[in-house]
Amino acid sequence: MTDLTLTNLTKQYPGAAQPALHDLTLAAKSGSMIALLGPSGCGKTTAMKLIAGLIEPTSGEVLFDGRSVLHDPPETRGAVMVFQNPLLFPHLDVAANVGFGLRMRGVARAEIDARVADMLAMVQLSSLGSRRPAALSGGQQQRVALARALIVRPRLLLLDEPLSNLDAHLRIEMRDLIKSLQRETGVTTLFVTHDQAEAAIIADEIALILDGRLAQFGPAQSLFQRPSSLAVARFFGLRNVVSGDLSGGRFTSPLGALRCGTATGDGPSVMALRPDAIVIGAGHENTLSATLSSRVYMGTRTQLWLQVGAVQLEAFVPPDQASHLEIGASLQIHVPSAAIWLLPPGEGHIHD
Amino acid sequence: MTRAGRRFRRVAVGALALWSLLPLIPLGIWSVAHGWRFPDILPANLTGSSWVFALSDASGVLGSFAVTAAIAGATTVAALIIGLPAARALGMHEFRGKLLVQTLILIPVIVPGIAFALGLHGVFLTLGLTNSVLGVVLVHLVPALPYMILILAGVFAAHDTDFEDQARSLGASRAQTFWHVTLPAIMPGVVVACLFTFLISWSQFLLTLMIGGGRVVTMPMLLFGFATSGRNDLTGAIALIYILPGLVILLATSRFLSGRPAALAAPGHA
Repeated sequence: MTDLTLTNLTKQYPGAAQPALHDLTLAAKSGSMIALLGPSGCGKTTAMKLIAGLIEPTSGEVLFDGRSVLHDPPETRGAVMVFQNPLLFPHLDVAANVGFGLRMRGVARAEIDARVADMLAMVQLSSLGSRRPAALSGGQQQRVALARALIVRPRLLLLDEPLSNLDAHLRIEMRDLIKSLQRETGVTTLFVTHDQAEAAIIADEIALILDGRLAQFGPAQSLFQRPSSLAVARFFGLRNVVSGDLSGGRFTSPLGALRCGTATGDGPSVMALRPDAIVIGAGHENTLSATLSSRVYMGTRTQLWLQVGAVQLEAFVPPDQASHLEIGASLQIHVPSAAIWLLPPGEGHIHD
Repeated sequence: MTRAGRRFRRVAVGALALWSLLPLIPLGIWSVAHGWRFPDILPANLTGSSWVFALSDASGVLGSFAVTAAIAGATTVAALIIGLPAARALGMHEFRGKLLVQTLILIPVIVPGIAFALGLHGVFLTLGLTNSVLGVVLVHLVPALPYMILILAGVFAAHDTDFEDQARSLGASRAQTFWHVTLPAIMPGVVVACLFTFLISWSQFLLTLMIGGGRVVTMPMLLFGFATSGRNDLTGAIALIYILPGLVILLATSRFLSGRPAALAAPGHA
């Protein structure tokens, strides 16, 4: 059980124009599962390797339980990485792979054997201890990699896209296994992913990293519904962005004047409107007239593109509400004031 | 592979085997011939006397065999110790002047041995290294090191360092990581490089002659002596003894010589 604190962690590779990681400050409570979310190449893996001690930061601090670990080599830090590629040692059988960390620590043979057997049982691979890694499927290899990491009882578990090489059904199985093992062992875990749904499902809190900087940190809901910047909103696929002016709780834009629930300071603002917040039909507030320009049935929901004046809005509605709508038809929609989220103009953060 | 392809491969392998084995046949016949003159296709009388002599203390073959093996073994070990870190740097890191370093490493292969041996002789003379086994080992390193380094650099270039990161984060020290992870991964390449290095040293003649000054008598020098004295029977027997280690090493390590160095150097990508 370890609290992890990162303070202004920066990594600048020699010759690179931009730092791979810029000023990352983050606190993960003991026993929590944090997702480092971001597009590929955004600095997530760099952050992991800095925490594991595999590379050294240009500046900043890595603290385990409040103590700096920057001078501890990777083998004594107790932060174990599991990579996207399972990286099982090909010359060792499955049991020897799982027991590797204990063998390096000089643990007695009998204890290693017992703990390996326990660990293989936990990942449901008890019968495969004497197999070579090459004889395992991708999902089995990744489970061995997980067992090999957990057996040393790490202070921190660092999972670097461990699911992205797996087939869809294996991903879900593996994701649930990781989640349950993490709960069982209580190990503080960082989980790198570029998949926002995966991050939302698996993690207690999400740290969104864009271009090497922490864009937002918090529970999944806050990132989805209360993005701190346009960049965050865009990362989560939000396309309804309308510029306007806020004054006395009313947001005036090409859409007209809308009443807002969470009004901040008056002045120029940008409205971010989630597509699922738009409701078909007139409401008691913020009713707009729209023309339907496109309708795509997506299974559990229907995507609509609505023309409101000069503005195109994307809406997700339940399929049964949209089935009778014709392309080109005029309709009324409304936007509940509580769903309107306002950001300062430009790419700046809301708290800047 | 198609049937025609398989047949072509069989023919090619057969031709290659003939090409390498044919020259050995007269050597073998000579070694047991008691007089073998034109126009006889085969010698009239056979005898084992040249083998008896070659294997006796009087011929010096066994002693020379031991010296040659010791020199080649020492050269290989020294080349491995020097070459491994150099190859790792060349294979895994990009740095300024890398091309220059690579070219410099290749120079001993390009420059004729006699050219640098003349210069080295002077240096070794002042250092008291001439006429000694140590001096011969050192001069053998000159042609052997480029092969050792370049083969191992290729091995390291194909080596996935994520395995080492994985081992470190699991609790292995630097030394443990090298011993338990890196070495098993690069072993096939190391074996091949050592085999080459050993055989390069094993076949040196000129450098041994110049630095050893005739005092360090390796197998090629002994063989040359008998060949120039016109003793074809002894030359045949000693030549066969001389090529024996090469064949033995080749057969013993043939499982590493599959022609798939990259696949061997970076296992684990299922």
